[in-house]
Amino acid sequence: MAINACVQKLADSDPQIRAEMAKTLGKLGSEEAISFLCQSLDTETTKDVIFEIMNAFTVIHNSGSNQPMPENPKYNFPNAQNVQIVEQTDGGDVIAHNYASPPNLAEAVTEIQNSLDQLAETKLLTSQAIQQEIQQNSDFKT
Amino acid sequence: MITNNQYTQMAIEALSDKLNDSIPEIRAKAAESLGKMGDSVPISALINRLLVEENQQVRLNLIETLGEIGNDAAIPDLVNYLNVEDILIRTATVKALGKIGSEKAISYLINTLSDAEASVRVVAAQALGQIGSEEAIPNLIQVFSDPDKTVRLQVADAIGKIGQRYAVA
Repeated sequence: MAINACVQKLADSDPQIRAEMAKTLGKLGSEEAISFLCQSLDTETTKDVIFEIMNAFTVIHNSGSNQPMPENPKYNFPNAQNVQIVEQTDGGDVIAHNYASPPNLAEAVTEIQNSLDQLAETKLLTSQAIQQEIQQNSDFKT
Repeated sequence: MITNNQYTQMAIEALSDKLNDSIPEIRAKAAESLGKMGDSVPISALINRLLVEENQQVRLNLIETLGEIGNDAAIPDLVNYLNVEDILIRTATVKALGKIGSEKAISYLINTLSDAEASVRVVAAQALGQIGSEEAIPNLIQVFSDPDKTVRLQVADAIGKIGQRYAVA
């Protein structure tokens, strides 16, 4: 997981890497990183790293992932015969789904599996990018 | 509204500890960061630090953050900084009181309308407009004779804002 990789590098001997990792943990927006950031803050002596840890706190706190799920689902179509959802994502892509009622369970499972695969791939890419960054940083140091 | 969970609490505590760091820049950054952690940040650590703080930037950040948090329990301590010599501190205090937006600050801000410094009178009028209580109107009208044009303009704007609020309500 990307978070674990960053947390490990929070203890790196190079302050630049520690600062970068604190920044990355902020961007990832995961609240679980806060306890690790607190531990680092306790022992950290480099000013710039301390600043990045403090920034990470505020970035995580204000990131959307901490907002509670809405009470009302975004989509609610009781007893619909045929529903089409077209969504515009940030990348400009359009995801379209056709749902017929009654829902086909096997189809739903395949669809969920596809979404999970897609998610896993995205996460893998992020994690690879971070690993690469870490690699480059340590090459640079020597 | 983001609910205050265990992790947020943890971050707030860590930042509050750093308000007493030996390095002023770190204290300043901790104070600033607490202003971005939502309105449930406890103000006691900020006020305790403000009472002993001597660095100008740290004091400014503490005052600004007390404004961001918006807890009116900070008002009795904040108003003491309306009478300090440092113009920037007076200005920041007036702005913080405006942001808190409580009617409890009105009498203090009315006094500040006769501050020696025009820039402080300007923000005082602004803050009274922000709080939006009609209680301030007679005093604001008196300041129409202020020698400074910006003050007079701001007073007109503040009265307009207060009037608008009552018109809507």
